[in-house]
Amino acid sequence: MPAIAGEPVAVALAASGRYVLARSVKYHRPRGPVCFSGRCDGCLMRIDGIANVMTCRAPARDGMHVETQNVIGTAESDLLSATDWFFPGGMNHHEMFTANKLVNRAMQQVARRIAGVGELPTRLVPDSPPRDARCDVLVIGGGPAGLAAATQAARGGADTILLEETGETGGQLLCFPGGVVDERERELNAPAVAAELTRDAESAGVRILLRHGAVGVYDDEVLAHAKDHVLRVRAKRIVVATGSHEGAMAFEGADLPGVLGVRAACALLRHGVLPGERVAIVGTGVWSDALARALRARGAEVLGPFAAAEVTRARGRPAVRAIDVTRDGAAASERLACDCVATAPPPSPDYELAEQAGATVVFSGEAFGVSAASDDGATSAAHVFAVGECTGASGLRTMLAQARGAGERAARSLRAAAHATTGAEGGDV
Amino acid sequence: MSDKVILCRCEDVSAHDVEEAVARGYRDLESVKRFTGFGTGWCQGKQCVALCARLIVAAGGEIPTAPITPRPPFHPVPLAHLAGLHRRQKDEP
Amino acid sequence: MTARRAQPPLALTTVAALPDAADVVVVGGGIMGLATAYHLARLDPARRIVVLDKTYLCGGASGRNGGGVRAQWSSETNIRLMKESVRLCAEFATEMRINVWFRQGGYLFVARTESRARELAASVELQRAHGLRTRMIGPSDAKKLVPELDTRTLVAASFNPDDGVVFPWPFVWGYARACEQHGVALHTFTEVTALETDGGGKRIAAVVTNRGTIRTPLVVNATGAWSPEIARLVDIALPNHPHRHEICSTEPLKPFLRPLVADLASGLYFSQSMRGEIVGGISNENVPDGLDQRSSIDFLGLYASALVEAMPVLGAVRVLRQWAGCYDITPDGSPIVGFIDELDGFYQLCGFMGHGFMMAPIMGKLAAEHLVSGKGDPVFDKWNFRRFRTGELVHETMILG
Repeated sequence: MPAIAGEPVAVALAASGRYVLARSVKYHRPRGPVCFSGRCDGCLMRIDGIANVMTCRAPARDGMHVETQNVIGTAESDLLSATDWFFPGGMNHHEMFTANKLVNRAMQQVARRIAGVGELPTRLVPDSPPRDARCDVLVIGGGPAGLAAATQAARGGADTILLEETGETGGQLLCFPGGVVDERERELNAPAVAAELTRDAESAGVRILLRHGAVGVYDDEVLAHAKDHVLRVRAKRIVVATGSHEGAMAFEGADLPGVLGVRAACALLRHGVLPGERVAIVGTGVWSDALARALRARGAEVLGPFAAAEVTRARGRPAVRAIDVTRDGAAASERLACDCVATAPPPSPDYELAEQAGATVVFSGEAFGVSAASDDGATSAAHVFAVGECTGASGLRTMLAQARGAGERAARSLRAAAHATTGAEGGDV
Repeated sequence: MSDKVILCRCEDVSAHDVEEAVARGYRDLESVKRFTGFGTGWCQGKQCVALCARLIVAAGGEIPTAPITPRPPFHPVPLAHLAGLHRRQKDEP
Repeated sequence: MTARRAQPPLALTTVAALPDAADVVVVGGGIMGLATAYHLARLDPARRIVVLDKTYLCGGASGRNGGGVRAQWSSETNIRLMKESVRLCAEFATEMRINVWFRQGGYLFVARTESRARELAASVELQRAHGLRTRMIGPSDAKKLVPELDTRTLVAASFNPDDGVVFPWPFVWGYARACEQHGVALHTFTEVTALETDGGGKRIAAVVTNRGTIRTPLVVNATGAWSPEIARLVDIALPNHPHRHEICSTEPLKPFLRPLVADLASGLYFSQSMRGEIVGGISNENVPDGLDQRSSIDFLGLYASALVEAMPVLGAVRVLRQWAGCYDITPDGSPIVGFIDELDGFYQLCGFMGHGFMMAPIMGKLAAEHLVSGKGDPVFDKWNFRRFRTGELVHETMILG
């Protein structure tokens, strides 16, 4: 299968027109990538003898051996998908086959056989020692908010590390196919703003660690995972700038391959891959509008954007081929042919690391987000700030202001603490 | 014939499963998570927790005051890279 | 810098009003309390029984453990009781009409020194005398049983094919539903804030909660790691204390591991769940005081090192999540059960050293029989609180995790 060296395997597969990569655990329903950002399970495949590799994050390499998992047959036609048809209303795994002990035992044996996803790896991975780092301010996330907070902290004299999970900083701005208005009221294309924010951070002296994904916040340390080792970071202040992602939408067939998030669709476009020839957009907002324009500019047909409530079902096997839409005021639903559905549900903030750091996370009615002050990202936990989309905020200029406030406040509090302990022996700040 | 509305893709938990859990008296987020299994699979709830919370409220369950407890690690990490984490240099404070 | 977690307010689920009187109040809606209430209700349908828990079902150790159920123990009492509990587990799904995924793949205890092997062999002899099928095996047989195990430093191992693993949550729901079907009033999100006494402090009179007061002559303390707190409400100083134990699970893999593998030297244990995840833990003495259920980096290091050493192919396998719970630890390693001499109507069912989950099916039954008939199994004297006064301690050594 052809690929551009270094592009994610899932992108190369999408470029070949292939969205059906896997099957779900219980009903063996066909599955494909939804987020293209490491926040779902749709792209998991076996690569070079290692199970459950997230192909949206695995760079393609010449000679790589990629296989589907957990199927009898192929991902396109898995014999075990009979389970899905056999239990149209759902399988009550709590109570099924509990009437008789022998039958129950037999059922359990079958269940165990078909459970699990990947096979045991066939090669040994050597132990690799952890590395350590220290700093004054640790910023988690290299999107626009993270970059701005780190820059401000560094300019304020703080020794600052920024952890970015992917191979480049800029976050959402890298994929947004349109213009944004920056802090100086200039209308620029999104990647240009990302590049400028990155340059600012670099010249302010921020230590940017790419391909370092923070995986946990513990009492005194943050643990990050790089490709072949982990890094422990001790910091005096933490700024969480982990952003948000799309999350799932609820309608029949929304889990079909070819149904993905609007941001994921934009990420594909950025790699030069058209997500579909006839793309239905479900859910309105800036991303939906920008995607629609970008798709039309590349010659794809666009249906919608439809309001989420208008779409009742996605159809097709194994991948999406049509959606059922009941437009506002219409008497009946129409079936519209499509080969890709891009959804825009309310964004789901990535609140996990902030919560582990001690910050309060609240439910807005739509999603969970970190509770943080709008001017400087202060949270309920001393020494922890949260900025940007992970707090439920939106709008580039608002988020940048919050991020700069956080960076400044973090640096200022460290300077104050250093003054207070001048002359004293060490002391915990 | 209708198709399932899958909320949690990692564990194949449907909207019906969540509504059923609430009807049976498992009305708060953590109880519904355990009863249905949503949020316990590969992505640990990233895709589905907001959607499930909205549906639980719509079905008459409790309005959540906190999300399901986020367990480390945020992304799955190989055991070989974790071995040795407990060994610390002597000069490390 | 220390990260502190802000505590969210608990959602109050008042599905029914709290009764103002009961014949028995079981404090603690974990498996121990629920099993006891269930059997009580069956033995004595006229008795008014209330079970209270301060959070959601499965919130305590009953919802956090690895689901191991074994009869391989070093003391006669534990062997006898667990043999029966294993049998009850095997019947649970069809009796309670809920799948608990009890898989009897066996437990393999490995010994890496001669002295450990001798200790194991002594336990095995005792177990066999009680009719268990446990046997000692050598490294090559252990390798046949678990081909992925590195047996190079193995001296010997013990294997009982009837030991197994369950999925804990449905166990709790099964007992909870059966309780409600038998008329037990189950109240979650209900916290006990005080216990009232009568007769100059000689007997229990009422349970005070955040939702109201229940007059009762009998309180069963089945709160596990929280049991010393509950006992302090009536100035009883139980000698047990909570000790954090961490646990983690990996990505799901196709089934390959038949038994649960355990090493008493390090406390390492691991097994493959019905979903295919490797679930396990290891001993860690360096833990914070008190009730702490947070996860640590050190545990990951300890566990990963030991696991990959025992089974090298797992190096490439990824940890999906880690969590923790608290063992309820006693000075001699044996539980604290039965009535308290100093206070009438205050019945203990705690101190189960991290193995209360597997003991609950039999202990709940025996406790109910004791409470109804007045005549109890000898354990209610042998493991009584008074032993800490008389000095007749009872030691158990085969503690895992």
